[in-house]
Amino acid sequence: MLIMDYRDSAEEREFRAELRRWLAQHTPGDRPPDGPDDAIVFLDEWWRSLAKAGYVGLSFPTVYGGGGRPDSFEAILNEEAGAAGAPPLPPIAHIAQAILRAGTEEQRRAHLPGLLSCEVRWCQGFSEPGAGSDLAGLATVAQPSPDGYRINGRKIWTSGAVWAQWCLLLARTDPSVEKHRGLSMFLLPMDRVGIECRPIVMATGSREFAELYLDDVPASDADLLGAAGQGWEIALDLLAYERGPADMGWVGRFARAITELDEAVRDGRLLLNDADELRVAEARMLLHMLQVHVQRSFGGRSRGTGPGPEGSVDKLLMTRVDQFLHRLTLDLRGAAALLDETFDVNTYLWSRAQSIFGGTEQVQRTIVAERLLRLPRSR
Amino acid sequence: MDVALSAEQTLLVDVASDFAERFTPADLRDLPTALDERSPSPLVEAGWIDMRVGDRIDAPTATCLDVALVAEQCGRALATTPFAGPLIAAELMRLAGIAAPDDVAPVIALSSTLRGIASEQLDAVAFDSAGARTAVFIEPDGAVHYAEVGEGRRHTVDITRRCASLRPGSGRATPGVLTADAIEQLLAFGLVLVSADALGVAEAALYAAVEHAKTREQFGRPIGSFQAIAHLLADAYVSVEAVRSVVWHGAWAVDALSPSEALASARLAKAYSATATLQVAEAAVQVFGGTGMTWEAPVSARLRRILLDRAVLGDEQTQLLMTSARC
Repeated sequence: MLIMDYRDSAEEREFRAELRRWLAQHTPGDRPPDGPDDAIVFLDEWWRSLAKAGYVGLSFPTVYGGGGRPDSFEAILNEEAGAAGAPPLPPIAHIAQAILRAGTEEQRRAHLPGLLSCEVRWCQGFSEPGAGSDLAGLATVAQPSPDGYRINGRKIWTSGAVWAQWCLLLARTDPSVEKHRGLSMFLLPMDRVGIECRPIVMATGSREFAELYLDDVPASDADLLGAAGQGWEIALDLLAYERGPADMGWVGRFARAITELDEAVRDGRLLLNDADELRVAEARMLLHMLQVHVQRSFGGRSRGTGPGPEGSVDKLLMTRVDQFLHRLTLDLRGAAALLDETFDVNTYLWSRAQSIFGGTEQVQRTIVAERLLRLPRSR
Repeated sequence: MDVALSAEQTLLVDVASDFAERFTPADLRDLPTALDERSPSPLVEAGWIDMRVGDRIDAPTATCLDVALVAEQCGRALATTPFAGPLIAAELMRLAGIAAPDDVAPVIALSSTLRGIASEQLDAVAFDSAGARTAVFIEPDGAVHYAEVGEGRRHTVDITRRCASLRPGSGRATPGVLTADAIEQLLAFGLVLVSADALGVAEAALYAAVEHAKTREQFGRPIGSFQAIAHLLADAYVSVEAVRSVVWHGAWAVDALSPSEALASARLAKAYSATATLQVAEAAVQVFGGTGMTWEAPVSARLRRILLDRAVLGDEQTQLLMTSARC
């Protein structure tokens, strides 16, 4: 008989102890540097050392360079990385899941080891200037040609495109059918002729995002992920993983923010009044909620297939926690921080993006309303 | 780490749901007077009262999660049979190693602020006490006392459950004494149970509001097709699932962790559920429009029941202050 248990199994306990020892030795002492290019170099180094130690792609099959562990190990990694004050974990599980779940054996073997070792960087060409929340309405066309396809269009908000070697690109291969049915997913090297990348400077100063200009980019059938016309299905599956608080390392980041807060209070760098104490207690409560909710989600996932529309519930909860926590850490620093050039306002600014990327908060609510509550379509 | 209900627990939910629905009030307009007329035996009859009573104190027969799943079903059905009150008292007596004084299940006595278990007879309210004759409380030194539940009912905001004063001078000592650890464990158990009741009430309010939004038409369309309504309900659903997550962990912690760790998890569960379930019930009232504000609407009775659950053993502010106390 199964008995519910939040505690580590023997295997999990051993893993956690080993991971904790490793983090104590290898966690970089400082935060990622401010300059965007320096930051990516810093993170790359961190991610590769994590990967080398076997902590990236924990739940992926070992034959593709993963750890061959159950999903719950991702939650442990998040908890321990957060508690150790480690920099963010590599946000790649969604792309790796898409390749694992939709790719051919050849594609998995070609791409997963590079992705999971953090040696090859990927970006995701989904959104367009005219297709944000209405992603399926995208206009980038992959026109069938004698040698495969010719792709023309423009992508925006492509994270990491500037540094990426590969792109997962969603394009329309059949304009004659219903919009969700005419999309296909491509795996393209960023140096393929016709792809041009222009960085976008964000409110945080980051160059993490870019626009992609696609000018008659040639593609072959071998570049397709899944079958032609299957693009939407693959994209939905990928987005459900992208919304997972532990899949993308978010739980670890929030735990780290609380750890830093505790340290600041302990060192006397931060004084809390009674009202502050109550808000900090509320932040802790929300983090606890997210942690135990993620554990329950993983419990359900190990019995089903993927996260599905329930991923939107997790994303909405994560957004609540992120935005509450980072408004709080901003407030606790007081007005003086606003005139202090060493003050890092970016975690607060990024928390505002949490309700936009990976499907806006409004899109997530619509998914919950229509697919989980079965309310009538609201458009 | 493996977080999911067992097949037995899924079955338990079905059985508990059938049981609880027998006590869904047929007509809310008869409440609260109808509560006085019923005998309190169903819990004893169904054996629910003894869920935790095993041969040994350290090996309860049912897990706290099992009990919480039943409490959730009682809340969902808006059941008028007492559950949390007698079950918290039963847990107290189990931990103290004493037996009930008569064949009617005693209920727990709370301090009159509702924030804690009563420590003296004069400042006590019997909680969830319909039909009960005895209430149980803990003196500051841990000694367990009984007192008689008074005849007169006390006003309570919740029309589906009863609260009562204790009869003056009726207090009597028992051989039972609770250690500080046992009191923490008991508090954790109680916090989880009222949070589970509130979870059930909130999800029932949500699903009733969802059904209403699918059928009620305005401007020629079901109101659930308006995003203003759909998103309100989506947020409520997200909150309900989050409450379930904290309640499960809190319940698990009662049996698996040390008393102080269990209490910490239970306080966080109560703090979260007190805030979230009230918001869910308020959203449900909003979706029902004017109907939701009437006495006979189940949703208004649900809102009232959540108000009491929220206060019992302390609302979110109490819990957060307790968890943030730096020792």
